[in-house]
Amino acid sequence: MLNIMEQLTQAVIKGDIAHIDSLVQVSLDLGMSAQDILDRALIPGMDEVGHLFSASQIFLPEMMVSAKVMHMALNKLRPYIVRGEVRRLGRMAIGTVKDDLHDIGKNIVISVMEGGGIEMIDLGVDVPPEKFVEVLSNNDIQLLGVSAILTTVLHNIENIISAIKKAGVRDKVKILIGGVAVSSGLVEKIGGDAYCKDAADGLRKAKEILMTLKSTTKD
Amino acid sequence: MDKEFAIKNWERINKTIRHEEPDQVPVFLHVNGPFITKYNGIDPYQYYHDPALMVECQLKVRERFYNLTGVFPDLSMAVEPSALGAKLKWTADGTVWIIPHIKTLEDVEQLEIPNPEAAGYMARAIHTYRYMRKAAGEGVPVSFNNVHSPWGVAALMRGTSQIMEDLILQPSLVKRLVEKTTDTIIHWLHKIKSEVPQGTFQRILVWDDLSSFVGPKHFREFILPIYQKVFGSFPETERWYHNDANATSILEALADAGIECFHLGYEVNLSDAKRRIGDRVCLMGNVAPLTVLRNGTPREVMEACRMIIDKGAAGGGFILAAGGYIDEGTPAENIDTMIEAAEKYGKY
Repeated sequence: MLNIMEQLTQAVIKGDIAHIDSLVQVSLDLGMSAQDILDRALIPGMDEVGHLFSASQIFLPEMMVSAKVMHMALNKLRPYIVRGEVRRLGRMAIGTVKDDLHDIGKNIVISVMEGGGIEMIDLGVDVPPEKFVEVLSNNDIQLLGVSAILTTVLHNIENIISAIKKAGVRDKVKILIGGVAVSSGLVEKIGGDAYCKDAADGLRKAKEILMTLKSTTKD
Repeated sequence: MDKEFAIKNWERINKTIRHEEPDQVPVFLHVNGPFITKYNGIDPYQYYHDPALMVECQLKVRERFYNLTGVFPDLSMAVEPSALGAKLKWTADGTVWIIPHIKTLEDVEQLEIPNPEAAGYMARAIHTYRYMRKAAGEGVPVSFNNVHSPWGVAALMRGTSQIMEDLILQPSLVKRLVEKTTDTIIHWLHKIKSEVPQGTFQRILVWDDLSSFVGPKHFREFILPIYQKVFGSFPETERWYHNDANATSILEALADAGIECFHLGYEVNLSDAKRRIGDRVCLMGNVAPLTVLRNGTPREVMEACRMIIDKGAAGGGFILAAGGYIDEGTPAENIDTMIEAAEKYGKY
């Protein structure tokens, strides 16, 4: 018999929409803290989903449903999060650049990042530069993820970085850039902070940046 | 370049599709709106909406690249979804996006097979084809055989991420939706067949990148029956299939779908694909469109092509091409180099 934490983890991995809400409730009723539910059950579940996806043992449909289960669990924990009882590794906003409506890659990144313990704010697709600026100005965000699949919209990444600089918030955020049309050379050229080859690479770099930021803050 | 090269190249392609060994590896240049408009320095939106401009631009590309590129109605992703009622968004750079409009099963049930003569960009495609045939000139064949896959059209109308979730959470909606899109595509292909000169409807090319995101289980349950129905409706017609996403997990299922020529992406390991389905399906592509063909030097292109030919050519059944559409801004010298590589390294 699996304990409640293991059941929660399995619910995320299996995409068990029907039971996630009650499992979170039972965990809370048993006295588990929201932080423990997140760190010991939900995040390991999404982390495993990311591994299974990378190994082609599951595919996008399964990953999308697991992500949905994760969101349902987080919604259930929302009151604790709002009260500041849950800490995350960091917070990242992500969006697809203006004139690019692909969302699959972005959604994979969101799932993998959440599996790595990073809180994600999804800005959606076809996001204008001013929306990126707005979210940075109004939230405590350490990382910004930008993706582009089409070469025809690469200039819009530059527009985002220019708008962020112009708004005076460039120093408060590290910009991670990915997508099929992007290369490391391009990221360097346009002044991004990290090129992400794929979602797993993105998570690795996001964690490195967050660790550096934390150690810098401590100093 | 030998004036007869394009003719010889088609002879090689035909042999390759039949799994006979030609004298050398053939090449195929997949170009469409983004490359053609950039090459001609014109506004993409105008290109997509002005048949005279479209044919003029395509003829210039065709002339530059030794008659290896086609002349065809090029309306990007707009045709089938717009005919089924989807709204489109054209961006400043000329890309068209489909705004997902299927929210419920009731929305699916209300979809009706469109009359191609009167439905959205289907009607425009017919009009454009008729114009192109008159305008292209003597001896220039105008192709009219490309359709989007019923699965891809369904995904665009429902939302690509949403339909992935639906495969597990609302499978009956997906099945009903793809039934509708499949019947629409078959009806559309019959219309296309009736438009082209008798005896020239020899090939269907289906575009479908989104199948690569599902695993073999979902592919076999939801998508394989689509292809069996579409291809089964045109048994005498050659079956070409474009999917430049990473289709590694569904290779055998694609072969089971009856595909004869698979235009695959650069992420698929060609040796692996050759081993797994090369005896059943002719493979085409694999040159990375962005990192090699667009951004590489001619020397890098030559070396990449040599390695790809090494993996794909043995025993025939391989056509050298970009692993996807040739990207906008790809240097002409690099495309020339790919053609040269087939001659230099692809001799049998």
